[in-house]
Amino acid sequence: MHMPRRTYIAIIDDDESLCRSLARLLHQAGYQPVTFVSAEDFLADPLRPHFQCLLVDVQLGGMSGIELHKQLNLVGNRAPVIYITAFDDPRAQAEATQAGCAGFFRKTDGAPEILSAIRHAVAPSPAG
Amino acid sequence: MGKLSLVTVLWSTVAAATLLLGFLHLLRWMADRRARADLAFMVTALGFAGVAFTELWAMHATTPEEWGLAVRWCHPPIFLLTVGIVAFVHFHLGTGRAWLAWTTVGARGVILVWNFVAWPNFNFERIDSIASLSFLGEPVTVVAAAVTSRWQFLGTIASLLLAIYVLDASVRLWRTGGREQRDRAALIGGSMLLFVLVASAYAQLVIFGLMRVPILITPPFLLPLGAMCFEMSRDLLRVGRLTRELRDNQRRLEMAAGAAELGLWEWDGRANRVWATHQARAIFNLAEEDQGDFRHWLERVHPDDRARLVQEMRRALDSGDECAVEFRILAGGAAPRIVLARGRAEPAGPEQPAQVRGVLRDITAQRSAQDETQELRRELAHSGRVWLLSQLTSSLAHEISQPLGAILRNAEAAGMMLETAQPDHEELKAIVADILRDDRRAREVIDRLRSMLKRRAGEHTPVPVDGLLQDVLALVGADAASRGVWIEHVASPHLPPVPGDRVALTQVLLNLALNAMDAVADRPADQRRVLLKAETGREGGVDLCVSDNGQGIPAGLERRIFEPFYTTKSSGMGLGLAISRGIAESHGGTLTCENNGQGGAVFRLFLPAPRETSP
Repeated sequence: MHMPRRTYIAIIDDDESLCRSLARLLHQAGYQPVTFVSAEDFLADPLRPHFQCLLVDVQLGGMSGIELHKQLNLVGNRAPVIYITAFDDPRAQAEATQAGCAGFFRKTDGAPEILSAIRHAVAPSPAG
Repeated sequence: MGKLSLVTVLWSTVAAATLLLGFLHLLRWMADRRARADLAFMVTALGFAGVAFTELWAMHATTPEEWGLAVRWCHPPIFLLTVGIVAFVHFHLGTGRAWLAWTTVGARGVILVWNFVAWPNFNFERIDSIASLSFLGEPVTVVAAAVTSRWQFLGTIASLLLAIYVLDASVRLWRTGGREQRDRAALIGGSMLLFVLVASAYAQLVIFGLMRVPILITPPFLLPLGAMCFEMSRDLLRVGRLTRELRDNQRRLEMAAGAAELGLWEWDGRANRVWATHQARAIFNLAEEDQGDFRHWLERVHPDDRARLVQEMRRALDSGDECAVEFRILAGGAAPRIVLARGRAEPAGPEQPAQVRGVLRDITAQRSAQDETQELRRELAHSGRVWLLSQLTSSLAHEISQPLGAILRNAEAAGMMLETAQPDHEELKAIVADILRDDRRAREVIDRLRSMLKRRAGEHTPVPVDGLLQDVLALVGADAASRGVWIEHVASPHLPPVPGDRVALTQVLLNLALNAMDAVADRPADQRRVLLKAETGREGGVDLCVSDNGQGIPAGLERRIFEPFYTTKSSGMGLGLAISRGIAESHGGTLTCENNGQGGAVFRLFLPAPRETSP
């Protein structure tokens, strides 16, 4: 199967500095990050269906990360969602897991775990 | 004589009865030296008995010489009678004129001396013969032929002086006194006047031979004697009634006290003796015989509380004030019981020393209920703090992880870049710039957090300063007692109410008080002192100071202790002072600390006066 040359990963966080830093990290790791400061911006983007992984903060201005996830589920999104959040909230974590997330990290967690999770997420599923 | 002479019987019995009455009143005077009227009555009774006996003697005289002798020996008892009456009027009516009294007594004294110098006596120059007269069915001796002394009219004058003295005193009492005094004046004055007039006139008539009857002073004197007796008895009756009332009152008091489970006590500070009711002794677990010595009572008190108890009692005694002190009583093997003693000092009187008198009550049950309430309140206050804390920490966690997270990602990215053969320098510069910016952001978060602490205030109402102190004292009272800390409070009068959040301010003072109690925990048990003071501050505001005699604050740390998370205790987050300062500042005031002169620290919460115009 022909693998796309670029792996698009969406970063959705209302903190610009964080978006920028995360983008740098992903770029170094060989991915193509695109940043969005709100869930609404992301939904409005025409490139949306082509993202292969989403890094989402729970707490966003306007629609929350989890809400976004549920909405995407409704429209048949199959891109895995990885949460990177400031809150250490078990309730949010439970909700996220229920909605089917591919990872749940804190902002202060180290890069290796996050990159590993992303790698898993974008790896092609066996037997198409 | 075969049969007993009626005259003898009458005169003897009257004399004896009078002496007996006099003796009774003498006893009364000996028991209470202030009852001088009773002593005077005794003297009067003695005089009267003497006169009665000499009259009897005269009536049974067989020779003129004997009769003269009897008359002569009449004078000493008459002198006694005079002294007694004067003294009685002086003490019982209280309105006799002193110079008149002395003149009267002096005149009689002179006559007395004269009487024993002259012969046969003061009244007569010569007694020639006597005669016999029938009196009450038997013969009595009367004077027949005699020459009266020229000077014997002085005796009349002396008697008149006495009458004048008594009358004058009676009239004065009548004029100035109330109903009881008027009755007294009328009785004494009237009867005395009557007697003196009748007796003097009668005596003169006999002496001048116009009447052939024995000179008899005793019958008419029964009038004033009876009056005096009546007056004295009235007092006795009154005493009896008062004693009964007193006993009734005491019984009522003991019953009421018993029902309220109050022990009554009196402490004589000078002799260090205690009077107490049965109930009080029961509370102290003392036997009936064990009362009296204050030291016995003190032995039952917990050693740590003894000094405080004695000091409080002495203070009340010296200042004439009220005292209220709580202390523990040792109860054998069981847990100590808690007793509350309240009392009031009574100043020394003419025959009693200064005392403190009061009630005491076993409040162990009450205290344990209160302790539970206190515990609940403390938990509530604590959970309030905990809630605040959790709010703050989650908000802190969230706000600060953004910049921190960004810094981490940037650093990681830079790390990965630097591992490549040709790292992009421009990108690295951008990364460093971002890191610096985010670091500044993180610090701003902390600053914002601090100002958020300040802004955490409920609604402001005028808070009475004294009430605030009382609340805090109530909250720490039991704690202080069980930790052996002496909490004192002083509030200047007329402090204005301060606009503020009463709960928050209570929280601050509570925090300061608890810290102070922690600070003095190392001091010996009877030297732990915490003082809560409220006084006027600058510009009409209020200073609330909490000072202790602990170790004080180490030099240079006066600012640091207010920083969040600074603590010297093994438990606790170290946020109490930071929060307290935040509350102070949200009220427009300040919270500062310094070392006081006694080695401990003083924390000063300044709250500004209400502004004249509302914002």
